[in-house]
Amino acid sequence: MLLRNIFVAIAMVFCVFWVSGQSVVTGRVTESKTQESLPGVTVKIKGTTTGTITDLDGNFRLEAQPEDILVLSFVGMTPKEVEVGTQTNFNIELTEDTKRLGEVVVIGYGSSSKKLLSGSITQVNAEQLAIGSNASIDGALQAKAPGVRITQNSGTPGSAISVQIRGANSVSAGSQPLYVIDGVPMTTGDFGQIGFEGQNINALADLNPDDIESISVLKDASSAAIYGARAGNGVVLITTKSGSSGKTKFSIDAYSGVQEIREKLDLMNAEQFVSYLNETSQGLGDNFNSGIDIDWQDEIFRAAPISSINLSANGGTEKTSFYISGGLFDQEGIIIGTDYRRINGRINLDHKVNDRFRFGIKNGITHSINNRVPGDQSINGVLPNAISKPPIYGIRDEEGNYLEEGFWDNPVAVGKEALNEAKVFRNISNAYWEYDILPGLTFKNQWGYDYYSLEERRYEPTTTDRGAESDGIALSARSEVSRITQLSTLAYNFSLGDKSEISALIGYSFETGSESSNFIRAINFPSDELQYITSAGTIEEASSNALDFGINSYFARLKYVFDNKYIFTANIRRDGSTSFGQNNTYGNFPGASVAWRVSDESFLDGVNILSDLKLRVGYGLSGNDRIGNFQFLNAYASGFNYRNNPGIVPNNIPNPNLKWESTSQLNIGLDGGVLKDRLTFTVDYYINKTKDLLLNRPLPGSVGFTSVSANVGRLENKGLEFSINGKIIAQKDFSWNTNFNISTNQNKVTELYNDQPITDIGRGNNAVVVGESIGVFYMWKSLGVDPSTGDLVFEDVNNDGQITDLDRQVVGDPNPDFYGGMTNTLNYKGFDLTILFQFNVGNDIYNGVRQYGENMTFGENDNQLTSVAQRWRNPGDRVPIPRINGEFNNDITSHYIEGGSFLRLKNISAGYTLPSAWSEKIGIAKARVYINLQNIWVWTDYSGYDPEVNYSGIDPVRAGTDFFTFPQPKSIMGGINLKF
Amino acid sequence: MKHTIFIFLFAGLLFSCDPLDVKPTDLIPAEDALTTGKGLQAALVGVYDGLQREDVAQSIIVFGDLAADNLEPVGSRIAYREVFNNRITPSNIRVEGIWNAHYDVLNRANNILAQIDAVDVSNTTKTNIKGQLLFIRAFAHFNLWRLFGPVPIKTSLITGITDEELNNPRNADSEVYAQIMADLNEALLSLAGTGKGDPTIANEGAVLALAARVELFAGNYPAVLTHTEELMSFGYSLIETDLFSALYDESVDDDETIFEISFSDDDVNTLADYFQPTARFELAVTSEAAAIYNGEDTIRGDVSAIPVDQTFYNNKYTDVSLDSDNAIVLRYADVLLMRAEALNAINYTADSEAFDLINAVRNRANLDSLNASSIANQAAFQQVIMDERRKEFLGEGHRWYDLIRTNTAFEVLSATKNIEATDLLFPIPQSELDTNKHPEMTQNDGY
Repeated sequence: MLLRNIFVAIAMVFCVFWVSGQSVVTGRVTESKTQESLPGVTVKIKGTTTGTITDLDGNFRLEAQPEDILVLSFVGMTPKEVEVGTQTNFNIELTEDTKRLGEVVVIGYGSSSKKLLSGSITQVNAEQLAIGSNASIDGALQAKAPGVRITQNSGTPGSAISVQIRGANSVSAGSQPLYVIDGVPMTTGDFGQIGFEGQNINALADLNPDDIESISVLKDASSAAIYGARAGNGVVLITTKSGSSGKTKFSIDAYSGVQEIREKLDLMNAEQFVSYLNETSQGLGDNFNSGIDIDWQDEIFRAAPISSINLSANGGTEKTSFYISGGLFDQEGIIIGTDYRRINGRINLDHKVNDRFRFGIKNGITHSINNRVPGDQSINGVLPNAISKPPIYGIRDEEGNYLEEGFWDNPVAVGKEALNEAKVFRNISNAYWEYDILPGLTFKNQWGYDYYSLEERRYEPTTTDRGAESDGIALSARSEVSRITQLSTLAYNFSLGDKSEISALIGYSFETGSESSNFIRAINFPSDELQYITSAGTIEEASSNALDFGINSYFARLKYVFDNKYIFTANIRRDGSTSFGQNNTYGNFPGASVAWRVSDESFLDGVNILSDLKLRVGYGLSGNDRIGNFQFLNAYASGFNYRNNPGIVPNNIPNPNLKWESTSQLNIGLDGGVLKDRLTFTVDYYINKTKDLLLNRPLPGSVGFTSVSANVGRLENKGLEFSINGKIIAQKDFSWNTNFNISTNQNKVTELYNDQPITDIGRGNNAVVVGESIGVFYMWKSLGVDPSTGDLVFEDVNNDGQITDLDRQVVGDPNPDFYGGMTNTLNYKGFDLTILFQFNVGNDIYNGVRQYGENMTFGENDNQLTSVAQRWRNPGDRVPIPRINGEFNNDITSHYIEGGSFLRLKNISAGYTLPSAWSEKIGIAKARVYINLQNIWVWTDYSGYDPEVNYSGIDPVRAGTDFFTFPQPKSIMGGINLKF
Repeated sequence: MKHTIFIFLFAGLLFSCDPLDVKPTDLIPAEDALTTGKGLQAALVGVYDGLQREDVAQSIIVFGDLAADNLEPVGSRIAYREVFNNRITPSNIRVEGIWNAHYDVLNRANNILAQIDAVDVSNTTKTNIKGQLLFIRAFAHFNLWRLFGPVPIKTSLITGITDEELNNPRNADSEVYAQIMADLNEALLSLAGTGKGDPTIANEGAVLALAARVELFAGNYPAVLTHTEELMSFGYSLIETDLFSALYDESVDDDETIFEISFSDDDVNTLADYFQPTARFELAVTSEAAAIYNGEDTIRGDVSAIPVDQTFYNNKYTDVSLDSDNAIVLRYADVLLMRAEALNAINYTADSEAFDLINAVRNRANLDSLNASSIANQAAFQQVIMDERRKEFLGEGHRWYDLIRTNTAFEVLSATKNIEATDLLFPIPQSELDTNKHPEMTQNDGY
């Protein structure tokens, strides 16, 4: 409270300072070779302590007398002195001092030169994000940042992508990072109320990757701790593009292409199926020998168009700059009935009122429509039914009506007739103003508003089997999430003597948010033309809900740099949240790191090959606050009615100690560069220890409750990350850049309540077991097919002669041993070629499709994979697949576990940029045409559609199971980039 | 200085808001929940809601017949097979459910009882609500006691997750019985004057009928006579013969039902789904039980055991579309038969009141009266009572408890099932044993 009042006082005091500067000089500092602006340059008046630091665009402004001399200094640059004289505006170039300046990296509530970072942060810039023409920003980040494992859970257009930074740190509170856009934490996650299992909607999909300037990933706790109770899974800082003064630059990026299934499953045709049925029961197959032979995969997969166009304008005057963009993305899914369309608009404006006072707004609006098909868990899903429905059943009768024969609903009818629409409206906007109280001392105040509205509608008409049973089924759901953020910081950057640079920051922020939702399900419609609830005969279910929440935070950071060689950073955040119990309303999250730039030591002066070497060590504490709302509260819940009278009941045992899950992290890193940074590399090793995991602690039923949410578990993640960037060839006409990153993470659960394993989770029997990685597969271990009986045999772990629950064991791990990516970019004159590989090695997949497609248990109900031809038929057969109707064929056992390693040729793009001499004749500064091939080759032993699969979306526990999951397509696209 | 306004605007916003001052929208903090009469009523409704839980209203009925010889499992529920075979494992999910759900009800009731004195409502209202809650508390303890034997008594609310509050011993039979009767006696005082009342909530009649049942279970026959005598002055009567099947139809009001758990369209009573062959059909009537109607007892037989596909179904619960059948807990025919049983237990007297009582129930089913010439002694009379109860209450969950309290379960059930003496008490759920660390929380013998 006190801190907050101080901020208010500061805010009010400003009016006193509200006077224009006198004898002001301004200027812009650039790097001499590249002409790139240089932020963070110290500009001082010689012989005084008066000075300032250049902003992100390299601009500075300070008061000076004509006789003053400006001294400019920056790490890695030769210092420069400039006489002021009568000039008031300067363009000053600094020259590289043997070692090149590193890029500027966005950090929590600020920015820093990469060379002066002491934490572990990976930044991916627009140029790298653009590789591969991705629809969403998390997709654009895939395989490009070490320590960040991004998994495309399914091929559903617009669906959620799983992002895990340095492994899963939580069992129940989510493992996805905190996303911060332009300084303001944003709403992410799935707010859908109509179930689509792993094909969840993703609130992050509303951002247009083309609007993003950079994505900075705070990986270690020393960097992330400044985001406190939400930083336990890492923090992703997204910065949108902003304008720069000068001539207005227009840009058009457009592409269009087609997507297809990469590889179909090898299912039986009618002839094979009939002969298989005859083997299950003599003569059974002949009953179905109708001459019909439908390849249901062909009926539901299609060649689907994809296209995108983005327009932007960027420019401004010295006082005002702008970035305005509009985008349209349109993708049809490769499964009938699916598509995703998104319209984006963005306006970013920055204005300088005078030397000291600046303000601006950043405003993004999105409207999207997503059509999906029922999920893989549903017995009337399009893909599950297409795989399972035997080829012997027809699609339509002679009059064109859908046929509903056999056990499975007609997938073509479900895909084409049922409506499943999700409409999103999203507005993320923020406004800021900042004021330089003194040179180097800046107060910034920022307000953010994030509004998300999701409207879902489903209608199952009478032309589908299910719809016909109820004379039409309609679901209507609406969810709204809004979040207001206030953010105030006071930053002070100054020098002490010649060698010490100090930057200090204190801040206060609060967030208040609310969620509301309603849901209606109705049946019995007079006509399939009337699909809204108002026409329904019977309303089956209706509900309406709301939730308010809030977070109150104080934070501070101190950074001390001595002689550009020794760097010390410490930060702390204090977070209060409405999710925490009364005894733990506030939590403290400190972090600290040190770095030593060894390469700047005099004893390495002679080692010319080494251009950069920095050793970093950091330690910090961060939290995960997604523990549910008001779970700690001693409260009564509503909705417990009797005789239509409303009732309330005690909701839970109060747990006033309930708090965030907390992660401590030690990070040791090394950054290096050789040959004038032609080759740079980064290595990081970390140990993450998470405690106070939120789990349901079982209680004796005799107390009236069977469990209570309590902070009871522990787990840890350890890992090593390595990335290397090389400018292998850098000639005028020919260049070859390569980037390679590889990461390992070893996850281990170290404590659960009474160390009781949590088993049988999800379709693949994932489990949480002490001593094992989170989500391991826990089931009977198959030893193969018994040649004498044709049944699967299992390892009898306790040697009691029986196979029981006690014989279950860990048989696989959905987490990879290592993963990463490699990007190669070649330029020859106007030609460019980029190749992106992604790899993932050592994980296991539970192939739920084989559990059904190879179980040979349901006779004429289910089509089977052709692999069942290798089944056991006679005693003595030594084969991999058990007999028809084998006893354990339909059990979840390790028989259906497969290796999930893969190497994916994720993207190849080849482009040609017209010589500027040609394009300028038609007024175009740059014109490039390109062709882009995505996902065209995957090397894997996995037998399903695609080894990159999570049927249950982002859940870190139900990981690595393929359950009739919508596969990723391959695609080919052509596009143009124009700048004028 | 126009910027000043701008600054003050932000400053004001900073001041005006405490982001942590947020209240939940679907929860009421406990300290606010029971402060008014309205809150108290809502909490009372919440306790009745607890009785609607499958593991209370339905399981008590189903297990009463399934563990004995009236019902058999014909569906997919493994938990039901274990109960039918009297081979219940301590991890049986429905047995665990009964345990947990009854203690949930107890906790709901104890929460109000602990706070009711401070609520600002009239003493009349308070006393009445206390009476209803004590009845429900006795009902829950009694259900647990007769299934599991000695069980922990719960009369206070839980306030936190301390070892002391979590780990509770099993109380001795005598203690459990004493607690049940103490609650019922106080309930009787609290509900004095409510008499017959609405059968969907607890009233004086319900308390007396339950007290009679508990005393009969305890073998305290004079007390059964006292309670039933008082009850018989309240105006209850047997429903007419022609309307016997309507007894189970909640749209028909009757004077026979003393206490029933009510289900409306919004609630779910799955009994119809489980009993009806057109629905899920988990539970069929055993052919042995169907045979007792012998083609003569058609009034009751036509409701209790109807042939279908070589088996029989019970038709007392019929609402498969809305799942809103009421679950009858206590009815007047039971009171008459309990009284007859108690009279005979004290002293067999030929053609006495006990004969009148049993004949009233028989006559309502269009059956002839019995007299001393056909029931010659005390033992024979007791057997007739047991047969009569079985025919009258098939599908209402009395059989197992009747066999247990008369110490005949092992002998009777051995005829048709492979039952062991230790099967007469259900196992304490494994989840309770795993988490309740009190040294006196032990498993029943044989498990």
